[in-house]
Amino acid sequence: MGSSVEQNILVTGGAGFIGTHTVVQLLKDGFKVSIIDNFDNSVIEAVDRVRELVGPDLSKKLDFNLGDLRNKGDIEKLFSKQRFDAVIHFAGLKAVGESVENPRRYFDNNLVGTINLYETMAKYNCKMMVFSSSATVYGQPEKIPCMEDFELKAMNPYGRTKLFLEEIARDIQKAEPEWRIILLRYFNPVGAHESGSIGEDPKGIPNNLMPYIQQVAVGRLPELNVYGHDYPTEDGSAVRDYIHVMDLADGHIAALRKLFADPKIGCTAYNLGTGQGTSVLEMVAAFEKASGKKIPIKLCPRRSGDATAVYASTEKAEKELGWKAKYGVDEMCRDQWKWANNNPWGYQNKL
Amino acid sequence: MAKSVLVTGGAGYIGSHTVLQLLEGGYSAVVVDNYDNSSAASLQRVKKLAGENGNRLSFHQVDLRDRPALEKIFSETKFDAVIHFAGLKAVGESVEKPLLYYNNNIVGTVTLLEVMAQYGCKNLVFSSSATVYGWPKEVPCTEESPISATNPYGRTKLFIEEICRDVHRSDSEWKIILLRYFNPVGAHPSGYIGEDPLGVPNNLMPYVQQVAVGRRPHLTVFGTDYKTKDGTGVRDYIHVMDLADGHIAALRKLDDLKISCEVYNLGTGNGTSVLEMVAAFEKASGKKIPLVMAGRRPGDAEVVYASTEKAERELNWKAKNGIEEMCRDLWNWASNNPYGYNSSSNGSSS
Repeated sequence: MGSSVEQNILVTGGAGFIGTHTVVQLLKDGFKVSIIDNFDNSVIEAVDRVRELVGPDLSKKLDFNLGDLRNKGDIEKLFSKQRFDAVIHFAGLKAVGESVENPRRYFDNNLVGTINLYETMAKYNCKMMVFSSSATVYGQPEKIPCMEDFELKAMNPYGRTKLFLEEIARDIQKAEPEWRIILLRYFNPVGAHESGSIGEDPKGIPNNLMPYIQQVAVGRLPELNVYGHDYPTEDGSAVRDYIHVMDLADGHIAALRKLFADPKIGCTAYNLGTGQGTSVLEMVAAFEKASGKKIPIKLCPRRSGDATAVYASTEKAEKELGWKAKYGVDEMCRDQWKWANNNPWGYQNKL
Repeated sequence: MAKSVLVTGGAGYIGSHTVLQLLEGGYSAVVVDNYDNSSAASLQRVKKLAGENGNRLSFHQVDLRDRPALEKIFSETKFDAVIHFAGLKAVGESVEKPLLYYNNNIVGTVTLLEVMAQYGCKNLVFSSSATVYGWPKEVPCTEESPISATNPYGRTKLFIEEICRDVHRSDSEWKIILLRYFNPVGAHPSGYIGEDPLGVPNNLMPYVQQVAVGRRPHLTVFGTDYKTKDGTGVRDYIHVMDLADGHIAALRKLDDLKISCEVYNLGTGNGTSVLEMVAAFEKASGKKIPLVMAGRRPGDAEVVYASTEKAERELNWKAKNGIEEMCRDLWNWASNNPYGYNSSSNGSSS
């Protein structure tokens, strides 16, 4: 599995939802990992659980650093003491609504943080990057499935940070062709590690469907608001491409291997989705089945800016990364419920 | 009491001319500049030109990305508004060093907006550029024309415009005016301040000027087969003093309660070809400018000029000077300061 020389990967935002799951897979695949995270929307307990999960031996290959990418000194400190073969850059804020209310926070965290990271990488001659982009850059797509060469647009400040960062990555790579950058456009990551010991644990009211459902299931929230029930879809609710976080994590390993193997990769975008569209109501039904819990729903009007149906074309990732999602919505809901049931208050010990 | 304005990049070309007009218009000006492509020499001259009004000028070597330094400036003065010129602006360099551009322009601006919000100063005039019109399908460019970017420099302007719109949308206390400059040229009529780029000039007139004073052998004209009257690219050149006055008009507009986040073109509305501009400069200077004709540069648009209607109507501002005045004042500056602010020759290689 691991290569003969141990490769050292910096993971920004590695204590977050997708970050922790990816770190587990990295360690299991023989990589050495350094995390930098500011715990803005994550906790140290998540990293401790990762350590428990991979065991004491692999855990020795994990190094955690509290730091903020907006503080160049924090990044510099990491690069000055070791050589990184590549960076996986998860760190960033990701709540659409909050980004509309407080865009400066988004531009500061996401743009300034990333520009600082690139500068430090360039300085230390580490020029391989896997960047967390998002299907949000497809806006309200006119056609589905979304292909990587579609025109891109942003509907809100969060989306603009992702779009701008994609453009910035392309410019950097064009200027210095030795950069190898993979932009991963995530569709809708859900589920949890099958152990049920790590999972998504957003602070405050969840912004995404599944963490919300999960909090309804464990009694933390009374009911689920379903925004829009008159979309031109089978059941009227909006359709998305949900992807199991473990598939997503494996997609990052595939992207890393592509970076190391293909000097001509340039700056390339890949969708990470399943290619399957699932409606909100279908997802609720699947979760009810997996959990045996009834999820009370309230039908609400559409939210402005929400697209009707978004799902990925997975062709390019399959062909070029040799990666394909393995799990369907049943596994996603099963693992989500396991995590929720074992950890009704997430990483906190409340109640 | 005089209104107090923070001017970022105030030591630069447009900055220095605007600072002078601010002082003469009764404002107090605090300049922050990192002197990356400028020096304090321009501001010392502004101070002299402004006479007694110069007492209302202070300047600090501060980089916008240095948040604590910027916070210190804001903690010492309560600003009524900020005019934000600071930024890198060479298209070619931005293609070669995009990170430099994103760092200076985006990080600088995001930091500035953060500190402004922190100190409750939410009035901003931002230096955008006609570059956001890309290769316009129709001229004149109106403020509603589609915007796009063809290089990292242009993207920094486009992104910052979007950032400003988002910031305003989230908090209606912000009043923001985005000024899209066309092609600023000329100098203060005194010939005492003007444009003084470091290194090889990227724009037409500074280049012409350096040819005229013997610092460069000839002017290369990129593109002679455009569908224009004489085959060369057509632009909307605007006298820097008109541009400076446009900023004062924008500042006044910020007092308008209804202003939100508005865009205005600052141009003359007239298109002038490269060859017409060279001819006008030759006439003004009495110098012959040797030309070398070359192919088009990728990314250069054919014809770009402004619709000036919105600025005339809403800012009550209109450019007063034509290309004769632009060339006259440019030559006055160039002949008095062949090596810019660096009075002693540093260009022995010329």
